[in-house]
Order: sequence, then structure tokens, then C-alpha cells
Amino acid sequence: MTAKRTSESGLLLEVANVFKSFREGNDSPETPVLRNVSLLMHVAETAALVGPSGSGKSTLLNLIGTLDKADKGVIKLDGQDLTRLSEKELAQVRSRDIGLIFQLHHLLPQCTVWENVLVPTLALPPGNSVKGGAHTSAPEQPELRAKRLLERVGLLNRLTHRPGQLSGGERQRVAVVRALINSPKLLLADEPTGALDARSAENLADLLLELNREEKVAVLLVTHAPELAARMGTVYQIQDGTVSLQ
Amino acid sequence: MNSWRLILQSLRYHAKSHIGVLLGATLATAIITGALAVGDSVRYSLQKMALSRIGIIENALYNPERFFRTKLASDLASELGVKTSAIILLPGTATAQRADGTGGDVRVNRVQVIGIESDFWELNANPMTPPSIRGESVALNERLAAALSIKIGDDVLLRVNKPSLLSRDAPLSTIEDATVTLRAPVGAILKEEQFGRFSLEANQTPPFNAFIAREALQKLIGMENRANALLTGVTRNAPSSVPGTQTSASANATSALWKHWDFTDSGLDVRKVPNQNLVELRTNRVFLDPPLGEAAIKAMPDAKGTLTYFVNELRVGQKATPYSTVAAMDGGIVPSGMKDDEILVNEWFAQDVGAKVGDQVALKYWLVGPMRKLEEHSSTFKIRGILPLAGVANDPTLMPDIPGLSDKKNCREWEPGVPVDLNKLRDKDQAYWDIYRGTPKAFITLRAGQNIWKNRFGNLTSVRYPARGNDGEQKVRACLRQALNPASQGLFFQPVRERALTASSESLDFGQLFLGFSFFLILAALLLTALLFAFGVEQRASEIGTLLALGFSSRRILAFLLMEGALIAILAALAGVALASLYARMVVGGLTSIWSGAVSNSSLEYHANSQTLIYGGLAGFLMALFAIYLAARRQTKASARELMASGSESAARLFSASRSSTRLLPGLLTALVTGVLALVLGIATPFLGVSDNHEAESGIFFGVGALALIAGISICRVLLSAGERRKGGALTMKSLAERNAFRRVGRSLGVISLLASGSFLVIAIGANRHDPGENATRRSSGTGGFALYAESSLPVYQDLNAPEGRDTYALDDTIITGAKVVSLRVREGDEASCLNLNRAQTPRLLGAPEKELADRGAFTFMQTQGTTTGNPWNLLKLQDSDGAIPVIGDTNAVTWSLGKKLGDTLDYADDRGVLHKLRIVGILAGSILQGGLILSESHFTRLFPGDSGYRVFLIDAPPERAKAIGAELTRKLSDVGMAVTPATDRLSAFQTVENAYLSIFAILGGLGLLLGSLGLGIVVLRNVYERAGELALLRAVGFRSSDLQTLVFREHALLLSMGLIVGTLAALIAVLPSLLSPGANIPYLSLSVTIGAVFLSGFLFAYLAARFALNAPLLNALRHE
Ligand SMILES: Nc1ncnc2c1ncn2[C@@H]1O[C@H](COP(=O)(O)OP(=O)(O)O)[C@@H](O)[C@H]1O
Ligand SMILES: [Mg+2]
Repeated sequence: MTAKRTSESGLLLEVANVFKSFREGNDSPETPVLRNVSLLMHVAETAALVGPSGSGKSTLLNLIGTLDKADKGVIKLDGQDLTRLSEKELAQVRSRDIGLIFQLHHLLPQCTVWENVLVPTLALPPGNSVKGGAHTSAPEQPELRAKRLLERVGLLNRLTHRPGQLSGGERQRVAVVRALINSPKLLLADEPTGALDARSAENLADLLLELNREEKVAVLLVTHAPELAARMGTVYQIQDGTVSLQ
Repeated sequence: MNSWRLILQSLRYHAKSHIGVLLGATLATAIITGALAVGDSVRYSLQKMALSRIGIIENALYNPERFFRTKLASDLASELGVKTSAIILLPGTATAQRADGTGGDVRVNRVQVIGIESDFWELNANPMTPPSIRGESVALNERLAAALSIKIGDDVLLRVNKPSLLSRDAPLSTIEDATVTLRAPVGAILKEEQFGRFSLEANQTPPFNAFIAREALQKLIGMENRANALLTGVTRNAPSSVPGTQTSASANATSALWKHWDFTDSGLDVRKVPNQNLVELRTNRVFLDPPLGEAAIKAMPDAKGTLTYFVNELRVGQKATPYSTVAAMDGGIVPSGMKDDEILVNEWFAQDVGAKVGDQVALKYWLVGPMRKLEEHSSTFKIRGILPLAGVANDPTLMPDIPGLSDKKNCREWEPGVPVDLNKLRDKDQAYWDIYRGTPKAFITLRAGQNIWKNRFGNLTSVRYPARGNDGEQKVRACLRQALNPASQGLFFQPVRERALTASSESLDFGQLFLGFSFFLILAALLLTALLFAFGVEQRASEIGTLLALGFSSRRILAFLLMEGALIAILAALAGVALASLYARMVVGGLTSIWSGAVSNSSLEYHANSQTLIYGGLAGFLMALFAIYLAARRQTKASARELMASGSESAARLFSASRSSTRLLPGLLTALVTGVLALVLGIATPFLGVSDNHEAESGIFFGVGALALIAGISICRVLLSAGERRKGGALTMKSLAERNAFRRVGRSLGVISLLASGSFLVIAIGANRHDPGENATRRSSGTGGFALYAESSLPVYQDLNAPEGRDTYALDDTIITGAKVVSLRVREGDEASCLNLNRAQTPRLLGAPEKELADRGAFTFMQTQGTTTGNPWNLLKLQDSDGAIPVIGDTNAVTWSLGKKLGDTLDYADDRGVLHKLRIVGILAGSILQGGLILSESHFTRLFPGDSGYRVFLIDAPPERAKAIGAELTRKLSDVGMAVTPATDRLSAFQTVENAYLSIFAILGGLGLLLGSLGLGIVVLRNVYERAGELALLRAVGFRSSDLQTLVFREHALLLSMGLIVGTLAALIAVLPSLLSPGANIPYLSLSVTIGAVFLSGFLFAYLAARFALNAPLLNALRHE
């Protein structure tokens, strides 16, 4: 079990010598985006990824979030090499070990807040119910957890609302709860505050850091905002396809 | 939260976008189920018709020329415990004699004149009060009354053929008093429910029936206490619907009949020969039927056969005795050592001509050839001895009962069926007749006699048995009852009920037919379903991407989408089934009105089995689900990252991700189009073939057209790909539109292929009509080159080409000259043509002189069996080693009415109930010979000696005089109910069916095309949404939204035009032959309306879609960039 490999001081994410390039059409030349990228994250650590637009931040995040495949290199989560997993296993990793937050909330418009938050529990393989928060070994009922987290983000009175009836900040908080519902070890957030006003952005940042502590979830966050980056434990700078510590 | 909840929520949230999917799937289900329900309706209506025609009759014995005692009916009723009725069923004609003196000129042919007792009405399906037809009055069915426009109280003149005991084709038979007439007041007019439809033949058109009291009819035709048809009702305890049981029921009835049968029922007599210790079996038909004669000989040891013939003269040298009988026999007078060229004469004759032993006697006698052509033949014998006119030599019973002879007291009153010159009879001949009656004047060996006088009606006139002991006669009777099966004399039951039910249940499957006709409509509806679903799913791209990102596998998401789709499909199936009934009712309505030609004007009513509805709903559900599956699968193949990204760049990437399928698409489409073509042609071609003498030629044109279509589509593909590769150039609105069309080659080609193949089929099939008059004078055409086709209600016995035949009917030689008649014999049966929807069980048979047809090279053969040297008509002469009898049939009769193919056989009972195999050795291209199977006259007369005379006539006539000749024949042969029609008219009658099919196809195909053009609108919407970013950008840089509408509209108008032009041009090539034929009745108007409507609706939908899509706030698409 992955839970056994994890320790308080252990390594959670290891990205080593990753390459990624894209090509537009069949005949156009390849444009390298990531060239020999490496980075490490420990359990419950927070990190920011900064860089100019188009530098490959989202690309890297997508690779870690298993939404895309690296051309070369190793990405290990909890010691498990993600580049070697099958589609099915990757889907499992996404549902159990990783939480994703995007610049746009991507909530299901047809579902209520409550339902949206619980959708990821459906993706779990049958019999593999949600384990408790990383801090506890007793499994927590998904509904209880959803309730607790929604209360935590101050949306308890919005359970039956649909995404269309929420403000941008509220939507993004629902997205955060949804990302955490299966108690992932790693939360990946791609410019989560990008579409928010300054106040909401500030609040969301606070929330993420608090949850990091409460839920013992590592956070890797892409942002343009230097003040937000500064609040993270580590700041990585991405430029010309390589990543360096700031 | 569970998966179901998610699915239901999605369904609710996306309800609006699902409405289209629901409608498409509902439509598909409705059309499929509706087509099947149309099939049900036709079957049901036919079955209803069948039951109203036979009531509760289960078995029927019917042999037009065999009259048995009516008492058999009551004997059988008690034996079998069923209702029975003995009736007389005769073909005839009816003429109106209205009370106001008019109507004498209104004659209806092919009338069934039916003599009935009250027990007949008890066989009707529902209880009824028997109509009052006391005494002389007659009851007509509605159809006959309408045809005569006659009402109760008017008179009707019925003319029937007086049955003759001896076939009128037989030697010594007479045709003088062949028809008798009866004038009777109309006492009742019978509705269908009142058994007005009664008929033993499985035709969907009601017969013309005239019912009169059996006794009156018996008197009229001189058949007191006799009937020629025996009907038995269903047994109450045996369910009549179990197939197979009826056959044994009819066998049961036949064997019960044997129990009660008496010799007289077959016109036989067993009696003692006076003054000799012999018992003799005689017949009132002159000759013992060959199987009967054989059985009679075998019945007892020492049976001796006799053949006594009427000779015109017995001559020795210069002297001759006129008109005498000569007996051919073994034993008795004829010693066993007598040679076949020897003759024994009696002393009366020897004295008359002064003959002595050793003299040569020349016998002159008539033989009857085909068409009653009398030929005088002669044979010579050497006198072996002269017998005294006493003892066994004085035996008048040796002469058979010859009609017109035996019953005459004075020999000058003789009226045999052969010409006799009564002046030749001398006083001494009358004296001989007075004393010795028909005692033979000479005797030859049986073998010698059979050699010269044998004919198809028999080779014996009596069989004699030694009577041993006192009860000798009784013993012989008992033996003969055992040996003589009444079935072999034509008295056997046929399972008419089973046949009627089979005929309707195996009838032409209109369900299948309409599935074929609605093919395009169904395809279009499904395409719409798939397009709309795909479109809906595409709009949910980011939703699907989110689910992927949340860790759902793409299979799981596909399953979600499918569940959602399945729910829609279930709803659609339910709604579709409900709608199907409406659709089917509309089609049935159409079939009884504007398309009535397709079902030959039969009245149909709507009826659907629950099973059909279930199957239809299921089929619709599965097909819709499959369409949805294809659409959803494609969508879920894209990756999460692609799906979640928004904006033009990523949307474009989304679809370039499925590049592989784009490349496959054109190939798939070509396959699809070719497949659709093959399928539709396969379904439609047989309906298109009627009467086309250039079948092959138009087939080639059709093939070339189809190739042109494929070529046209390929050219479009090349153009599109070339356009795609062409980079640079000035950026104008037009070039932008073109580039867009070029960009998605697969989808664009899909639109083009669909529209092209749709319009191709609709035009090609809609315009592929043939001119029945085209080349009608050619022997190879559907008319066989004959100008006229004639059918008589009563038989014509003589050759209408010969002077005697023409004299008989007083035909005017100046009018008739130049006409050449080919006469065919007819065995009545089920009409085997496209005018009968039933599956013909016992088709009508035509006995044809194959040589006449072969010499003319008449008609075109589509297929023949084996390699024939010479004309295929000659195949009819042969007989297969397995005893099967070769028959030739029209392609429509064989394929549709009988459901057979070349080389197949069908069982057919002959006059005596013996089953023969008829093998189809040739198939004619659509012709006027539809309606029955054709066999050689020689086989015909062997199988059906009872069906005498000719009733179908193919007439060659100079075109300019055909009309006059037809009129003369109709007028002069009105007594036999001669109906003459131009051969081309008969051909057109068959073609109304085909043309009705064509217009149904054109209408349903046109609707399909319209629906397809709606699909174009959806494609436009999809394209616009996909390019939202690009279009938004164009607007951002200053294009007006109307500019963009024009852009999008132009791009799709290009596709629409390409598709319709390719399809139309290819179709025009395909139907060139019919376009060029002057008389083809091409529905230019409806076709141009169809194509015009498709053009218009295509443009309209493209325009609306462009407007709708571009009215959305496009700049949203740019927001996140
Ligand atoms: N699917 C793709 N296909 C082609 N090019 C891509 C794709 N995804 C990203 N790119 C390119 O890779 C580079 C990095 O993109 P991205 O990671 O989104 O940048 P960032 O998030 O840092 O702004 C850009 O130049 C972008 O155009
Ligand atoms: Mg980015």
C-alpha cells in the first residue's frame, strides 16, 4: 500500500530529467517546452511554480497530474513511476492520490455543490472507499468528509446551489473541496486565483495553506502572483524549459 | 450521490440538447415499427379477406366436370360430424337486363355461377339468414351487381357452359349445346359478410358471384340431383389454425368419401351382361379414364377390356357399310390366336358388302387432333371369319353410351360430336339399328384397336368380368369398390383453408418492402440522432475532461454517456412505437388511396401485432443506441487536457487528435454509399423489372450511373484535399469559406456523399419508369410481339385460325384476316402476378403450344435451366428424369407470387388428385404472361383431361387493324365471354403496381433527403461551435457578424451544391434510357419538387444554423486567453 511507503519526512514527488515537446501539424518542427526538468517535493510540503506565460508551467503540471505523458524522464509519486502505469492505473492515481484545481473551476453545471464535491468518489474503484485524512488512519465517510470540508470553506449554506448560482470565489472553493474529497497526497493547482478578484484570491490562498496543514496534503501551485508564491515553502522558477530553485 | 444520480442529473440538465436526439431516435423507431406494422396490416387484411372468402370451409372437393350425387354431402356430414354442402360451381358470364329495358350491353365475364341449397350459408363465417332465392331468382354479390349496375328486381342473364360428361375435346363428344342461358330476377345482393366473396381461389380481388338455387341450376344443365363441388366445414374440436392438420383432414375427408362413394358418383355403372355370364363396368363418359381402366383391369383376375369405336365406314372393294361400331377385345368372340391384322365380321355386314373370308376390310374413322381438328384415318384388316349375328356376337351392350347416338331411336336423328352424313344411311341401316342397336359389326383384337383408337381420354370403353356363382355381380361390385379410388376419378378434397391461410401469411411482405422504401428516412433519422448526440457531447467537452481529470476512466465516462443515451433511446422507443401506429395508419391510408395501385386496389385496414410493436421498438432502441455509441465513443477518445482547455487553439487540437478517424472516414463513406446502393438496388430492382425488354441495357446504364456517383464523390474528395493543401493565396471571405470546407475533408465529404447518394437514388429510381408501348411489336418485348391478349370465360374448342373455327362464331373474314391466334388452355388457380398480394398456392396453369411460341421467338428469357439448343420454349417438351414437368413463368409470378426461383419445383395435383412436380425451367422477363405458369399443352392435357378447350388467346394482328380485330372477336365471341385487350394495356396494368412502388419510394426517399438536409444544418452548427474561437477572433479584428454568417453559409452551400449536383448528374446518366423513351411516364414534377425542396431546405437549415450559432456572444470564447 502506498500509505506504508509514506512517512512524515519522506519523498512524495520526484520529477527527474523530464523532456516534453509539442508539434503543431505533422510537417511542422517540434518545439521543445520542457528540457531536462527535475524537482522534488516532500510529504505535506508546499511549493510554487512561477515563470513567464508560455514557459511550460501548465505543461509540467499536466505531466505530474498524469493528464499528459512526458517524452523522456521519470515522474515518481510515492515511489511509483507514473510513466510506467497503464491508462487504468493512471486513472486510479488521479482519483486517489492527486487533486487538481484549475484556473477555471470546471464544475459540472448539472450538479449541485454537494453533488459536485462527491463526484470524485464515484471514480474510485469499487471497494476502495475513501480513507481518512492523511492525519488519521480511520476511514472517514465521504459524506462526513464532504460536509466537514464544505463547512471548513464556509459553503455549508450553499449545498443545493448549482455552480451557475455561485460567485467565482465560491466556485473555486467548491473545486478545492472536490480536489480534496478523496484525501489526495498531492494537490496540483494551476493558477487557481487567476480568474479571481484580489480579495477572493487572497482568501483562496489562505485556505489552501490552512488545508495543507490540516489535511497534510502537499500543494504544488502555479501562479503569476509573486506574493502568493512567496507564501509557499519552496519556489521553483521555470525558464527556457528548465526548472531552478529560486 | 451515485452514478445513477449523476446520469439523471446530466439528463435533466442537458434535456434541451437531448430533445433533438430524442426526436431523431423517435422518428427512426416510428418509421421502422410503422413499416413493420404496415406489413402486419396487409397480412391481417389478406387473412380477413381469405376467411371471408372461404367462411368456415376447411376442405373442398371441386372438379368442374365431375358431377356426383348431392347425397354424398349428407353422408359425409354424418360420417365426419361437420357441416357440409354440395354445390354446383360453374364459370359463366352475366348480362344485365334491367327493368327499364337497358343493360343488355353490359356483360361481365368470369362470373362464378353457383348453385346452392340453404346448407351453403351455414358455412359462412358468421351466422346469417339465407337470402331468398326461391325458384328462379338469383343473388348477386356486391361486386357483380355493381359491375352490372343492377338492383334487386332487375333481371340478369346468366350463361354457363353445359357440363359434358365426356370432355369436349374427346372424340365423339359434341359441342353443339355447349352453353345454356338462364334469365332470372335478382332477388338479393350479398355483402361480403353474407358470403358474397365466396371463392375457392386465393385472389384478393373479390370474384363476381351469382348464386341460384341448386335445383334450378341442375335442371338447366341437365344434372338432376348432382353437384360438382363438395364443401366441408371445420371440425369443431380440431383447431383449424395448426398447420399440417388440415392436410390430413382433407385426406380424412377423401377417405370418408370413399366409404360413401358409389359407382354412379363417377359416372360408372356395374351391371350384368344379358345372356352372358359376365358383369361389366361401363362409363357414361364413353372412355374409361386411363387410371380407372388400369385399376379396373387389375381389380380381378380374368378381367377383359373392350374398346368399341364408331367408324364412318367398313369397306370391302367397291361396297361399304356406313356408320357402324367395331369392338376391339380379347377373349369372348375373339379367339386367342387371332392376329392383330385380322378382323371378324358379322354375317349382316358380310351380306351387305358381299364379303368373304380373306377379303380386306378398310375401316374409316375420325380421330381428334388438338383444337378438335378432326382427321379421318383408315386401317385395313383381313377377314378371318364371318360370325352369325347371334349369341355373344349379338351384343348391343358392347357399344358405349355415346351422347347424341345411344339415346336416339331413329338413326337419322343421330347427332354425334363428329360430322355424319345422314344421307348415307339406308333403310337397312335403320332396320339394323332398330333390332340390334349398336351391336358391333366387326371385331378386332384389343391391341389392334388400342393401336389405332387410343386417345388421352382412355383406351377402353368397358371392362368385363366373369360372374361366378349366384352373387357374382355382388362380388364384382365389392371388388371394384375396393379397387377404384374415387380420388383417381377427380373426387378428392383439397385443404382450401390451410392454403388460404398460407397464401395470406406468406403474402408479399409489405413490412420488408416499406423498410426498404423507408431506408433513407431511417438512415437520415439515425444520422440526425448521432449528429445531435455527438454535438451535445462535444459541447460538454470540458465536463468530460473534468471527469477524466478526476480519475474517471474514459470507459467509465463512455458508460455514463451511454446510459444517458440509453435512457433517451428508451423514451424514444416508447414514443416511436406510439407514433408508429400513426405512421402505419397513414401508409395504409395511402395504400388504399393514392398508392392503391401497389396493392391492386384491395381494401386494407390497420392492424399491428403487439409482437411487431415490441420488435420495432427494440430495433429502434438498439439502432439509436448504436448511433449514440458511435458518437460518444469518438468523443471520449480525446484526452482530458484537450477537452478541458478552451478556446480555438485547443478545440482545433481536440479534433486534430482524432485525425486517424478522419482519414478513415472517406473510405468508410465510400463503402457506406456503395453498400447503401447495393442494398437499395437489391430491394428495388425486382420491382423495376416489369416488361422491360432492355433489362440488360438499363441495368448497364444504372451501373454506369452508380459508378459516376462514386467517381463524382471521389472527385469532390480530391478537390477538397487539393484545397486543403493549397496554402497562401489572398485571404478573402470566399477563400476563407473554401478553406473551412476543405479543412474538415472527412466531414465535408460525409455531407456530400449523403446528399449525393440520396438524391441519386431518389431521382434514379423515381425516374426509372418504362414505356409499356416501347417496342411492343418486337417479339422480345413483354407483349411477345402479340398485339392482343384475350381471355374467355367459357372455353373455345376450335381453332380460331381455321375456317371451321371462324365459321362457328361467324367471324367476318374481311375483318379478321391477318390475325393469328395462339390458343392456350387454362387450369384455374390462384392468380400469380403482382396484382395478387397473396402467395399463390396453386397458381393458374396455362397449357401452351410451345412450338408456336418457339417459332415466333416470343418473349425474352431472363434465365433458363441447362444449356438449350434452340428456343427455350422447347424446354417445355421435355420431361425430367425424376418425372417433374417443366414449366415456365414470368419473373414476377415466380419470384413474388410463388416465392420460387429457377429450378425449384412445386407440387400440383392433377385432375385425379395425383401430385406432380412442376419444375421451373425458365423465367421470362416481365410480360403479359404474368398470372400463371406455362406448361406444354401435351403435359397439360395429360394432367387435366377435364379442362377442355382454350381460354387464353395471344393474338398477332397488324397494328393498324388490331383494334378492329379485337372488337370483332369481343362481339362475335360474346357467348363465351371473350374479353380482348391490347397487350400493352395488360402490361401497363402490371406496371401500375411497379409505378406505385416507385412513387412510394420517391416520396419516402424525398422525406429522407429532407431530413438529411436538416442534418446539414446540424453539421453547420457543429462546425461553427468548433470554430468559436476562430470566428470570435475574426469578429475581434473587426468582421461584422453578418460577414461571418455569409462565410459560414457559403461554405456549407458549397457542400450542399456539390452533393446534389453530383447525385443528380449521376442519376440522369442512370436513367438515360427511360428519359429517352417517349412513353415513359416520368414524374418530372414530383422529382423536381423533391430535389428543389432538398436544395431549399438545405440552404435554409444551413442559413438558420449559421445565424443561430453566430448570434451567440462569440467574444466569450476569447475570455480565457
Ligand atoms: N497540446 C499542445 N500542443 C502544442 N503546443 C502546446 C500544447 N500545450 C502547450 N503547448 C505549447 O507549449 C508551451 C507551454 O505552454 P503552457 O505549459 O500552457 O504554458 P504556461 O502554462 O506556462 O503559460 C506554449 O508555447 C504552448 O503553445
Ligand atoms: Mg498555463
